[in-house]
Amino acid sequence: MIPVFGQEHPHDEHPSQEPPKLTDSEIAHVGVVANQIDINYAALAQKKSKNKEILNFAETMSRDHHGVIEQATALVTKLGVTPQENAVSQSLLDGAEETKAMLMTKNGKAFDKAYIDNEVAYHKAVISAVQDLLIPQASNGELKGLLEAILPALEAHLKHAEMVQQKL
Amino acid sequence: MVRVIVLVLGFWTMLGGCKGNSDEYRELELRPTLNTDTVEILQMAFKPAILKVPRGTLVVFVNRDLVDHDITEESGTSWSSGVLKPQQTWSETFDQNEDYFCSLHVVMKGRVEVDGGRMTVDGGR
Repeated sequence: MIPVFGQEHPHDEHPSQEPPKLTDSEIAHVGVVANQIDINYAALAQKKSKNKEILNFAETMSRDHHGVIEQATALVTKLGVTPQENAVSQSLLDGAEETKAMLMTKNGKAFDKAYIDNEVAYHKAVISAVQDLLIPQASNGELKGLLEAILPALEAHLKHAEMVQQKL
Repeated sequence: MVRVIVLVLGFWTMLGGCKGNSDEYRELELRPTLNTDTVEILQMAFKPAILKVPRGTLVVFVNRDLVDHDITEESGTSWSSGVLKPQQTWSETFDQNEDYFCSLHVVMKGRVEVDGGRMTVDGGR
């Protein structure tokens, strides 16, 4: 399952139409969690795949998302903000657990396809969240600036994932 | 004896100085003026994506992005910068057209187009 903000959660009986309100501390937490989830997916791919394109993509995801976490950590330290757990980051973590369980059941080409399909969907969801939820709600200018600066990387990751997806 | 040594050293220094000047002069005659230009790596793109330069231009690539990048010849076999961390630079002299990409982010592509820039002492731009 890919958690997509603003869309219905399949288990919600009363899906909310309003986007959740987040503080800067919560936005920072969402950012770190979203990056860490993709690092974890990449680690799984590096363990299970033998496909060169998949391994190259996974290595890039791991390197880039680690880099973004480092920059986010430096910024929140500078700003004196403590990332705070919230409903959005929890929803991301729940979704990631389900996805990881699904990926663990796959092997070989089936794993490669499931992994890259998830990467395409995940990056679409995260881009949407950054654009429509995190940037508009960030109140600190530097935090907003970092989120805006991350978008081109996420979009390049999506294009890269789609390229690999087409080659499989 | 001391006077002889001083004289010999002085003469040797003079010779060395002359030789140095001569080499420098010859180098100035033969060496083209170094043209330089810059490609910035920013927001997951090479800027400009197509750089037109005179032959022999030293192109400096500057990673101004949030993440690591590299500059790799299109086939991936001829040359590569290795990983450039944010704020790091790498430079290469271009004598022919070259297509390149970032092997870490394969959707990022660039090209250096070389024209017949003059190879003269007074520069070619």
